[in-house]
Amino acid sequence: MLSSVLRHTVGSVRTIASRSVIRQPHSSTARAFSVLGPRFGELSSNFFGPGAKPGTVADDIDQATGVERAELLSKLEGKDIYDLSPLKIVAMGTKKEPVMVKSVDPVRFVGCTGFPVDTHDTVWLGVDKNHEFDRCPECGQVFKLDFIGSENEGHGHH
Amino acid sequence: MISKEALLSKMLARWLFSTNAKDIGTLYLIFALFSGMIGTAFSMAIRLELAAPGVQFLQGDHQLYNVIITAHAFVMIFFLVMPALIGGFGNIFVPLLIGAVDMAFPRLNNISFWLLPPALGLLLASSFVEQGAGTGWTVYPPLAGINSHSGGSVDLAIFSLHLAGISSMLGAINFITTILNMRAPGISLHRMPLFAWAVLVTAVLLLLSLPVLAGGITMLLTDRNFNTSFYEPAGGGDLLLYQHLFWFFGHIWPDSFNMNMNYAICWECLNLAIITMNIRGLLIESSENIMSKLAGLIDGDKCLQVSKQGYTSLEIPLGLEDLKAYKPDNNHHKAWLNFKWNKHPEVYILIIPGFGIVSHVISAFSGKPIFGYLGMVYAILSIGILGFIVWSHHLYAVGLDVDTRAYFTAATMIIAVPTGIKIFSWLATLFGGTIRFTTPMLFAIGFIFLFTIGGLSGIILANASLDIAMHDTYYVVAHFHYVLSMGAVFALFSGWYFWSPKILGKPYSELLGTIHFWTFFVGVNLTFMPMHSLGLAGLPRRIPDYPDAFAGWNMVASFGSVISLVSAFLFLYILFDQLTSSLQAKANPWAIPAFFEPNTPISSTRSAPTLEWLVSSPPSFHTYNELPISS
Amino acid sequence: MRTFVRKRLNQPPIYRAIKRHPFLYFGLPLIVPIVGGSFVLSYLTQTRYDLYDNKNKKVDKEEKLHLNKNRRQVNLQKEYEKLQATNEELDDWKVKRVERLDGEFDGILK
Repeated sequence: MLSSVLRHTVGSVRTIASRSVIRQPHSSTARAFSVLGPRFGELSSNFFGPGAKPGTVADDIDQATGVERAELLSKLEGKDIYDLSPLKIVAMGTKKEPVMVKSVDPVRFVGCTGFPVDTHDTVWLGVDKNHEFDRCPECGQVFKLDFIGSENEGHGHH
Repeated sequence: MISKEALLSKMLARWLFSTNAKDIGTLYLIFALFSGMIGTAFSMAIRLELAAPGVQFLQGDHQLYNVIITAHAFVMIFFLVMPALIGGFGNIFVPLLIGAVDMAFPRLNNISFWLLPPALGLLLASSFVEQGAGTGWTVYPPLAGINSHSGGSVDLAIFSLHLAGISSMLGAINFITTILNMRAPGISLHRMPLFAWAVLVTAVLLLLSLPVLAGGITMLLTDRNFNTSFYEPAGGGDLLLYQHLFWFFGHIWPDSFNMNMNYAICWECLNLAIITMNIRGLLIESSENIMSKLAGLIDGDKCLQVSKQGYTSLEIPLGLEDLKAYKPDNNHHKAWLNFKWNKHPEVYILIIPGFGIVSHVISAFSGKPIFGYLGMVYAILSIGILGFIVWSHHLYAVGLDVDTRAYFTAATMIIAVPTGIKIFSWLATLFGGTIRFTTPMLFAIGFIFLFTIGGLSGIILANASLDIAMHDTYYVVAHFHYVLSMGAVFALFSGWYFWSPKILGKPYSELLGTIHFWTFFVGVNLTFMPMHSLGLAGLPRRIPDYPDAFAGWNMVASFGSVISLVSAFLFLYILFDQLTSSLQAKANPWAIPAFFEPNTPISSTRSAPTLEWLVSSPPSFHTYNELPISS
Repeated sequence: MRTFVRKRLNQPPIYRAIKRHPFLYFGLPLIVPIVGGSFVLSYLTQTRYDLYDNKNKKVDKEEKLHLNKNRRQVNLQKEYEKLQATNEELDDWKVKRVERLDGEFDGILK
């Protein structure tokens, strides 16, 4: 159950960022008051929760739908679908062992502060999927994109 | 082929209902440009009237002159500098700089912009009904009271301030939330670019000071219309309360009370003020002493020109046996209540974003990271805190005796320390850098130079003793125009030339930009430098006429303002030229090739010290498909 | 790893401390003296006023007037009050009908 919610919603989180408008037919499962359904296109049956039982006060997990529900459910499992932690650099990135940067977009901007971190002022790099590697002009550290998005996403919009 | 209606609805959806920070920022900039032109028009009217002694253009209508200077101040402060620096550059670049997709509350952002045009409308309406609001931008009662400004003008001006204030508060809430919550992973507060820091501190200052201003003017509104007496001594109110509340936002401490005989004032107000101040213990000198000074004045001239609120001359003989009838005389002495003005949050609200912009520009065109980043950050912070320490002490002070006066002198002077940290850090950034004198850099260096001059005259004014002599003269006008007209506005132009290729995706003409800088530089200096001399010689502010002795420097100043006007038109042409340019600006138009640059474009890495230079020019409607990340 | 290492080997420990806690080791020590200095310095600026007060004793205009026997004492407060209408003056009034023109209806209904 959880995995299907996650698959749909995490995919949606990433596509919603890259598509301002997604034209999809209304899903029959979408409730009238929610705008999330039409926006996300396909809906899994777990898009909505069961809701609070009659006579009880609904809490966050009962109320949440879609992305937020997925986020809360995964938090219940102790996981975080949004990775908001800084880039961890355990060793100086080299051509042989570059610092890998996960991204669903073909380009991700990475701020290099040297190794160990904070050895120089932040230099922002556009780490590109098509580049063999990307090197910080200040300290020479090497980054490489770990592309986890799909090839077709994020094109042909706007 | 799109139909007209479809196009119109698209336009409406994009601009009227916009929730996109970049679009709203663009709207702010357009609005600021528009009000900047209105404000410049007002300033030209002022300078033309003052070009020579005697009546020039305003047909001796002193109220009209007061309306013009009031409108000039309002438009320039609330509708040019604040919208452009905070609303315009803030909205476009704060999200870009901190790696956020948009502002935290996009719809709030929309309303905080769309409150501004009605505010400007109300302000302009206030000058069209009845006699206009000739109150000065501080809107002091009793001059702003119902007795002196009986029509609806002041009410409209107050509503205008309300709307502009709400707009700024909502904007401030939005900026604080955005900056605290929406920084991309890895961008800690201590790695945040200086402009974002500047906007954060400014937003906090705005959020803390504006509600008090709003409260103050609302009470004025009820005093005027609903018979309350917050500021009416007859009803147990206090004239000074308004000044306390106003200068909480901006800041006054009425610790000097000076008869420099330049102005005329209603005797009733004078008397009430003396009594009130005496009761509150706000006088440096004893009230008897002041009375005797006034008596001396009467004694010397045999008469006292008592004027109704300072703008229409209504002479009332004093009824003393030894007084002769008043004879109109150009050099006749007039009495005036002088309050000491001082540094206040609003000044920092106007200048701190400028600090941020200048830091970026100096760093970019010296080819070095900014010197002493941490020092810069905490200098901004302590400027902000100090402003409020000074204020709170002011608020709780029961009276301003010598102790508090000494304190305020010390506190005001110590603001020069963090400001000095900033200025020397900029100089240290320049030192040893590979400096490129592009237009934004010229404006930034001009900013440092001229802002320092303004700061120095500010330190002089911070001295309670000296200020007594100089208060309400053109020296003060020169001071705050050096800080604002050459501080904030230079920073504004610097930011515009620095970032406009990014905003518009089109480069501007560097030659025309340089010419614009020099004409503007010469113009404003020619306008405001002579005001120092005029002020020291005793020319009072807010009076549309002056004795012949002041004619020379006034003519120079008016000539300078014509040069500034020419440079303003030149700026409009540069803008036109830029908007119609067929050239495409690069993502980072200011990049210099690295010493080692790979010649295979496929693998060349784009790099920039701040994030906005990595996105395309102009930035796409939706930036950052994937959040930026920092180590 | 880098060709030109800018960092000194024997870096003072305070540098590392500042890196780790910028606010604690840099921000506070900067802000506290500046803000506190405004209070401390007020004692210094105070001395100027004290000195001035010790040196100068002003003979003000009123005292001068006291010296001059022929002058009338001016108390502005009293002069101001003189200008004010007294209650008696305010109460001293009578109802008077507006005079009518010849032949004009005088409004009195019979």
